Amino acid sequence: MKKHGQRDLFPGALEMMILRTLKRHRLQGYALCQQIKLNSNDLLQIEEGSLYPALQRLLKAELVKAEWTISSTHRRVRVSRITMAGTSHVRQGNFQL
Amino acid sequence: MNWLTGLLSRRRMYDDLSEEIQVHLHEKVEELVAAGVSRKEAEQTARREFGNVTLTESEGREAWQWLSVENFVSDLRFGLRTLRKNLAFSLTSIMVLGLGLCACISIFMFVDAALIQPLPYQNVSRLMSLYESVEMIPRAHLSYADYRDWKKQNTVFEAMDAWTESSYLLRTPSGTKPVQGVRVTDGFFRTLGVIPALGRDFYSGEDRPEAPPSAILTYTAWQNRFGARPDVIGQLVTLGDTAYTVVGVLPREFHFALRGQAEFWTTLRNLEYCEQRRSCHNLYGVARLKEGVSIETASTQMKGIAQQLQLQYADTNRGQDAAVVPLKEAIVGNVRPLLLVLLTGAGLLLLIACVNVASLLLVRSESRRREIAVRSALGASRARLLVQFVTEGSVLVAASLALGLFGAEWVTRLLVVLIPAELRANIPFLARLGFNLHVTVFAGALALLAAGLFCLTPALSLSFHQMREDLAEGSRGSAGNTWRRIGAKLVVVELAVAMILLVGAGLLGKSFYRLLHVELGFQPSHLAMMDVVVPASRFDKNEQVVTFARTVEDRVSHLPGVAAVGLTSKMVLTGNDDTVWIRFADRPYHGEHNEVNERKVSAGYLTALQAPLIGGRFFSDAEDSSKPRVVIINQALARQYFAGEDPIGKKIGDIDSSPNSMQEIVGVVKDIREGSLDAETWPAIYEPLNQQPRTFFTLVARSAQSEESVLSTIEATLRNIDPDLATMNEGTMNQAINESPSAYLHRSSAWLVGGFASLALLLSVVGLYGVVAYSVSQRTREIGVRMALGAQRGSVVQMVLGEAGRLTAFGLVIGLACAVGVTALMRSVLFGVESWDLPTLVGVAVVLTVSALLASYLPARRASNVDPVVALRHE
Repeated sequence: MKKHGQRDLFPGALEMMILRTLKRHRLQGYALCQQIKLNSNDLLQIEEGSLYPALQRLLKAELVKAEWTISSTHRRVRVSRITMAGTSHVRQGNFQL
Repeated sequence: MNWLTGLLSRRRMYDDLSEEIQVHLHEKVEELVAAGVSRKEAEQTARREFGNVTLTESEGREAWQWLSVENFVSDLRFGLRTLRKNLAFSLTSIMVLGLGLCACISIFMFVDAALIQPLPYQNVSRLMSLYESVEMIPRAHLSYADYRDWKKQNTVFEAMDAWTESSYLLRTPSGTKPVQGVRVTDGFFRTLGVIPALGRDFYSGEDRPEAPPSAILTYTAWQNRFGARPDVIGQLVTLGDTAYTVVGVLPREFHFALRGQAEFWTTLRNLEYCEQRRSCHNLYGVARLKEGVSIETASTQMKGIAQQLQLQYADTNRGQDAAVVPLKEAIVGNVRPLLLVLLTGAGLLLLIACVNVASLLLVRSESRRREIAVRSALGASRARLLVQFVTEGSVLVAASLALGLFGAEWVTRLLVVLIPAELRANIPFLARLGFNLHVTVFAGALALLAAGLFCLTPALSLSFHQMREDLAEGSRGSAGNTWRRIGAKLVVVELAVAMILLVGAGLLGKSFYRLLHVELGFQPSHLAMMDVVVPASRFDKNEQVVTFARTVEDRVSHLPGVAAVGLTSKMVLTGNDDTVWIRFADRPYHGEHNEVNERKVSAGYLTALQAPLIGGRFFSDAEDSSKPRVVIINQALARQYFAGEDPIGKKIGDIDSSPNSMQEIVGVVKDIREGSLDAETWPAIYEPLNQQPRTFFTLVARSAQSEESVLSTIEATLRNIDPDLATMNEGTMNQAINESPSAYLHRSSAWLVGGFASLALLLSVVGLYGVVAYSVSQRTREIGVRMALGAQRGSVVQMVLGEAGRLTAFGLVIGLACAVGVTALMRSVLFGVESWDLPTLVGVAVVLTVSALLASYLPARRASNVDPVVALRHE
């Protein structure tokens, strides 16, 4: 049974990971997930789904923007990119949202 | 982003999130399929690695939500839905709790109006009521001369004034009417801190003989008698034989409960005969303490002054002490114990109601174990579930509170209407009855307490560790145990509280019965009575007054239906006052004050009352001032002053022992209750009215038929004798007894506490029924096994009844112990019955036991009818 709040190592770590990843590339959800898995020594092993609530919090905080586009495989996908605020957030090393 | 657009665009956000997750899953599946995994397996893997989609979506949505509020709204909706789904439970709980709250709030509204809200004077805590005090009467009138000395010599009061009751005949368009008034010293209103709404206050010196007669009106008198005209100031109003100039109108909120029906306030400018003698007491004092002076200090000083006056005026002031009582105490002191008893009763009823609803909630939480377990498994956190309980409890309490407040509004109105009109005038705080901040805070606090209780009950009863086990179908073992354990304790509490209330109600009921069956010393049925006043200016000589009284008696006695008629200076049951000090002709006199009630009565009066003569004779009508003075005494006087002697033929006189005051005792009459029903009978003397004629008396007539029917004919006859004569307080003796303040207070408290007690009995018995019935339903299997193993039906019934009996016994014993303690506190509102009255205690115990056994017999019989085969299969 998954419990609320059992997200990852410490609050904000997943969000920080997302921002760092998005700083380098614009990515859609699944790709972002793969990328983070790759970079994080399987930090995101637990559940892929946890990415999305974190992403929503970043959207809400306007550290990330997302828009629907058509992918190379001609599918409708939602691509996220980091905003100016997000960039400075990473620079300052703020973990808490 | 501002919150409004956030709210509007939120739906899109949610859709985006859902779609994004679907895309994620799709991509993963495609990737796995491309890698050679079968589609079905790929889909499973994708889902597994992603986790709970629904939960992810909900967590994602939470980022956008105003979480607490939205959860609350959804909890509220869910709460309302569960309550609606379980309508019987919800309605019962709301009704029961609403009833308890209604009782508490209604009584509190009275408590607030009477005891908490301030009186309409300035700095009420510093206002004192002053009395002279003698052994028999702790709060007696003050004499004018003593008042002057008190005022001059004291250093503890900023101001001291005196007042006395007065009545006048007022000519109105509908004939001459008696009106009530108060005569006051000039600074009376300044001492109270009251400023007239119109016109002016009495000026300093307006109570001197040389000042012109002036009057101040109450607001109601101004409204009703002068059409609220502002030009009333300066007008003349004729009260009795004197024309008074109206100088002011009191504010609307002003009231003076000690003389609630007074309409005209005049000054003590013309001292009456009584006020000219130090030995005659007819005033009350009112005074304002100086800043920082305590009541004790003031009391000590006033007692010192009284002591000094005793030495100075040995003949008149012997034994005359002083009493200083807060004005508020003087006004509401007599209702305080009663109101507190009622509030306690209502509180106990609310307690039972809460316990009842709490046990209902417990039963329900038992049956909701699986629901809770499922919700918890689906991801509801412990806090989230608690919040759900809190919301449901709050919804329940809010509905009950609404019901309680609505009910209280109506109940208080009803209770006010039920108060006899005359009594209502002397309970001025009734005007302040209503919803205000105090009541709101009180109701809110009760609701919070109740809500707290109801939120905690189900939450505590659920052990979260068990939840997963609860998911399993048929988890029985412990399921009912929590409730049986707690529920049983709750029932014991309920029974104990019901016991307390029943004992209280029993005692109050018995008090009321005793009060109505108190020895009166006369026959109250078929007695009509009314006060009669004739302008004194009509007569030049006392003989004319005697002739007038004879005419009245004669004419009334010849009316059809009138069997006997009599006149008295003061009606029975109206109070132990109008007293006189007597001395005995043949005994040495050392200035002691032998205080006795003094009544001037016509020859027919004692016969009309059917007061039994013990010895000697009644008066004859011929005994007027031309004959030797005679007197009839009551048994109390004979007992107290003529123990072992025959009083007939002995002479008594006033303390001046002037030769013409000596009266011969010609008769002894059985004790007639002159004071209120619950007051002691004092020694009394009855003197011939014809020897001391009056223009103001009470007429009593014993009728052969219904006493109401003769009232109007008597009134018409009196007007026929003299059109300027006024009658008032027309009524029957039975009415007077039933509506007397003491009867009213005892009756209302008996009825109210009786009502609380009946509800408490009902609720606690239903509670007991609930516990036993639930326990039987939980033990169906056990009972089935027992019966399969050969248990007799009788022994099953015995087992169930035994369980109920044990609970009842516990409740009774605890209740009995508490009841004796609690009722000891209500001794002051009881009459003729001790707080530990054995018959009441036994009676209540029997009623409670029988009701409890009846309530448990039904489930016991059901248990004995269990078919073992069905019971075992059922599981």
